[in-house]
This record gives sequence, structure tokens and C-alpha cells, in this order.
Amino acid sequence: MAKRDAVLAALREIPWFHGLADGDARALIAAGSAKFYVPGAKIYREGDDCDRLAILLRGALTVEREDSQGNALRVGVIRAGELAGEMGVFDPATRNATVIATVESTILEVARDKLLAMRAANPMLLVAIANVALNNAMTRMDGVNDRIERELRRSKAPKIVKLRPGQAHPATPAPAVDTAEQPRLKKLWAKLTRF
Amino acid sequence: MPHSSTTDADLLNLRELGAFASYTDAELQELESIADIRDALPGEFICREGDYADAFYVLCGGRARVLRDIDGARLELGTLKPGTVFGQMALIRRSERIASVVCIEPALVMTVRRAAYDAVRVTGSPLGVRLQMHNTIMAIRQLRKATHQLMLIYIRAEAGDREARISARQKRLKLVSLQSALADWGLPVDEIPEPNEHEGELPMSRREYVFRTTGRL
Repeated sequence: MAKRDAVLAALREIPWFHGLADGDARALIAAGSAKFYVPGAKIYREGDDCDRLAILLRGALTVEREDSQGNALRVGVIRAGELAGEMGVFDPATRNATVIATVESTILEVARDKLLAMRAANPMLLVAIANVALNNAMTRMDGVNDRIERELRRSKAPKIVKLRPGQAHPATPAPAVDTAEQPRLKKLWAKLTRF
Repeated sequence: MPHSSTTDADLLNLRELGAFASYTDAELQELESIADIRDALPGEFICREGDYADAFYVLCGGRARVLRDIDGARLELGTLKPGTVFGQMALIRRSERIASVVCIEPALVMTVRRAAYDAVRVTGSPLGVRLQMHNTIMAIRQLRKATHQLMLIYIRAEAGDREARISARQKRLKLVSLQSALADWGLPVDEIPEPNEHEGELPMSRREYVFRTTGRL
């Protein structure tokens, strides 16, 4: 009972949970299970089936992906109150990242089928979680689109042009020089290039 | 031109359109009660690029074309078929439309305004839950497809094919990401160009991408 109260109190601190009824909170706790992880523990692995949602109640998690050489790249962090696995819960897929506890962490984990089964009895809870997943997806979508734009612009960047001696770069306009100054500049140039 | 009142037969027709195949009668009736349904003529714009999004739409009958201005040229991104739901992302983001949609034949258009949409969401009605989940799934799929496109760009760069291949497809990648998003909005959009021969079904692991494009594991 004390553990359940502690989980309830932690849920109540999450901003997106504020407007939900006590009944929704208790239903979520009853459907899920609270789990504790030590630092370094792998909670989820890239490539596994994503059939559970995790709400981080306390602590911090690191999100990593493998690059083409198999090296682990840190791609993000999950802070208290945030979700892990929410996208796979709504649109089934394999996990696209590994989630590791950075510090001692407590999560409330709910299986996908149990979460979706709460649709009739706790619709506002499901709407709230779906809304968090939606906002997360849109925020990340903005970042990905920005990167696509940058990569496309970079591929359009002017190439390095090899110039022949004496040839001016086509993009560089010739400086405007007063004609009265030209004899003096010519003499100076001759002096500088004598060697 | 306002349409006549919807009958049970019309609700059943809506269910046959694909996007609403799993909706219950109660959900469809609630949708009909909050929506405006009207006839639209060929050439009539349902929404315009740049306009503030204050509704989402369902193409209940007829077809429409999606247009976008890119670098001063008006490009056709695809064709929407009956049953397509579109316009929700801009509505949710409270942003401007990223494309225009114009009817190419006589059409029946259902419009759900922002106020009605927000109202069903906060009540937790079956339709509200359904729409919330539908939009969430759409956003997730759009993200996955956009990430898929970005990975292709990076993989090509890693493989050293940047000059030869990306320059040939850079505009099409942008279009495909938009068209892929449109494909998720209902029935498949026709004539989606394939950016390359390696694009397959999602989700696909990164390792598979690298292998299929570079031959390396």
C-alpha cells in the first residue's frame, strides 16, 4: 500500500497528469508495475518488440542507438515524468533505441494491451498519454525535418572552384579602385612581386 | 452548398471508405453531428497553402489534388481519394497549411472545425478518444518516414555516393516525405515516386538499410 501511494504521489507530480482523476491514476497503477533500476541497467534494447510503455517516475534514462559500425551513440535523455516506448505502444514496431538507467531510476511500466484496454473505463487517461506521444512525435519531427533541410541545402552549396593563376573567383566582384590610384598601385605591386 | 441530412446509409458509406472502417455507429453518428458536409465543384479549393489551419477534412466522395509551391513552381504532390482524412496535423500544431487541396471532380467534403474537435477531445467521448489515437498514430508514422528519409541521406553520404545520387534526388526526397505523410492520412496516394530502389516497408532496421545500400553489415 505504501509503495502504491508513493507511485501515486510521483504520478501526481507529472505535469501532463495533473488534470486526471484519482480513478485514472489508480487504474494505471493497478494495470502496471513499478520497477527499480540501478545505474547502467538496460531497461529496453534496440530491436526488441515495443509492447510496454514506461513512465519515468524518478531518476534519469539515457537513450542510445547503434551506428553502422556498432558503436553506441547517445541520442537523448528521458527525465522524470517523461515516457519511453510510447510510440511503439500506439503504432506497433520494434524499439528503435536502447534505454539505460543513468542514475537510480523508478519506472511505472504498463503493457500495451492493458493500456489500450483502459479505453472504455479511463478514456481521459488514454487521451492524455496519446497526447504526450503526439507532442513528442511532432517535436522530433520538427528536428528531423530541420536536419533534412540542412542536408539538402548543404548538398546545394557551391563547390570549391580551382582557379587558374590570375583568374578571379567568379563569385568575387573586382574591387572598385579609383583610376587616379592605379599608377601607385601598379608600382607597389611591382615592388611586392619582384621576388 | 449545404448537403442534405445524413442517413444511416450515408454512415455506412462512410465506414466503407476505409479510414472509418473500424468506427462504431455511435462514433460515426457523433462525427456527423459535429461536422459540416458540403458539395464541392471541380477546381474548388478545400484549403490553401499558407492559410491558418482551423479545421480538418474528410473527402467523402470524389477526388482532390494536393499542390505545393516549391521554389516558385507549383507541384502536384498526389491525389486524394474518397475516405482520405487530411489537415489534422496543421490543426493540432496551430500552424499554416503546408499544401493546398483542390477538387478535381465533383466532391463531398466533411469539415470538422477546431472548436468541435477540441470539444470532443476534452469530453473523452469514444469519438474523441478515436480521433486522438488516430492523430497520434499518424504523427508517429510521419516521424518514422521522415527519419527513414534522413537515414537514407546519411547512408548515401557515408557510402560516398553523395554527388551522384543525392543531387539527382534531393527535391524528390522532400516531396516523398510529404507524400508519405499524405499516404498515412487514409487511402494510398497514387503515383508516389520511389526515391530509390532500396526503399522498402517500414519499419526497417538501420542495419538492414546499411546492408541494402552499401553491402556492408
